[in-house]
Amino acid sequence: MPRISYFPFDQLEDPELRAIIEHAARNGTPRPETQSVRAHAPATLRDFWWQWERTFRNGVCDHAIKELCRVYVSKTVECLYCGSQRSGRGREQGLAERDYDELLEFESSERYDERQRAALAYTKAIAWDPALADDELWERLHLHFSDEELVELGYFVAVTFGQQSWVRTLDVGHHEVLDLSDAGLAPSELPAEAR
Amino acid sequence: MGGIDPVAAGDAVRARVPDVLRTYRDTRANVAESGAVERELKVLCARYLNGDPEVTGFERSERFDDRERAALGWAQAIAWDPTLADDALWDRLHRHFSEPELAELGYYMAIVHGQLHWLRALGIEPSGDEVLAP
Repeated sequence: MPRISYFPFDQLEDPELRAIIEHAARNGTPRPETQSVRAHAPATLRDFWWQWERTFRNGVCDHAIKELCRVYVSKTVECLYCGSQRSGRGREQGLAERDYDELLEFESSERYDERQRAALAYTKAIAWDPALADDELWERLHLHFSDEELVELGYFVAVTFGQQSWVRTLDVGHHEVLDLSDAGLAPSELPAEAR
Repeated sequence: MGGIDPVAAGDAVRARVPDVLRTYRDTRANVAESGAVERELKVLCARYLNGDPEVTGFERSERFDDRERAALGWAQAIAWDPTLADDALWDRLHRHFSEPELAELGYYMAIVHGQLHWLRALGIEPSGDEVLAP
């Protein structure tokens, strides 16, 4: 059971809020459970929608690299609920399931290119140790990203790092709200026949 | 200084991407500076997340009431160790806050926690009133 109840969908009267929850149920990332917790405070549900729409789904930095950074955060802060979600748009942009496997070893893995490694090192510095954002890292970042991309990427990582640090205290689980589809779930969360 | 305050360093960085600045200003107005949870409690939690030594020792201090201690205990769990959000803490949180207040406060702390981490990586240290929405 979640530590804050899921706001009942059938009691949600505002069509904008209903649409946000339905979008989560049909598309995932985020899935509807966390959105239904936010629905207790409508301003937060609207706010999170715009955070995600403007700085994750869209924006100046390519979505696939933000998706890798999002799941790196999931793995490093151990938010299992968040880490078992996959962005459909990330898949459309070429991410495969194996691209998520070695995120915690990104510095030594050969799966990631220099641009991805720099973005993940930035993410690691934000999550764990600002001292890691030293001159050498900033040099690598500026080699691969514009200032605008670095602002959006850092801001987005901050949003997802904060939200995941909170969500992991809530004991939410998949398939507990408006279970319309498996959209956005990692293979580990799917029924065996669907993997 | 004249009659117009300069923007804070965090907003000056966000302004490089108008949608980022616009989004965060909406968060500041709709979540940090308004809502059901009182501003003073949000500032207290933000000060904890910012490592303010007057707040980080809240468990040993008599300056804080039970409601503030419960909120700060949750801030500690969010920032450092989710296992601290155990049955006992949730009992205390539900005793002092409604569910809409908990959703708002938790979401707010998540935003501040993330922004503070990013700003530190940029070498920016928010202080004073800035900490409400750094």
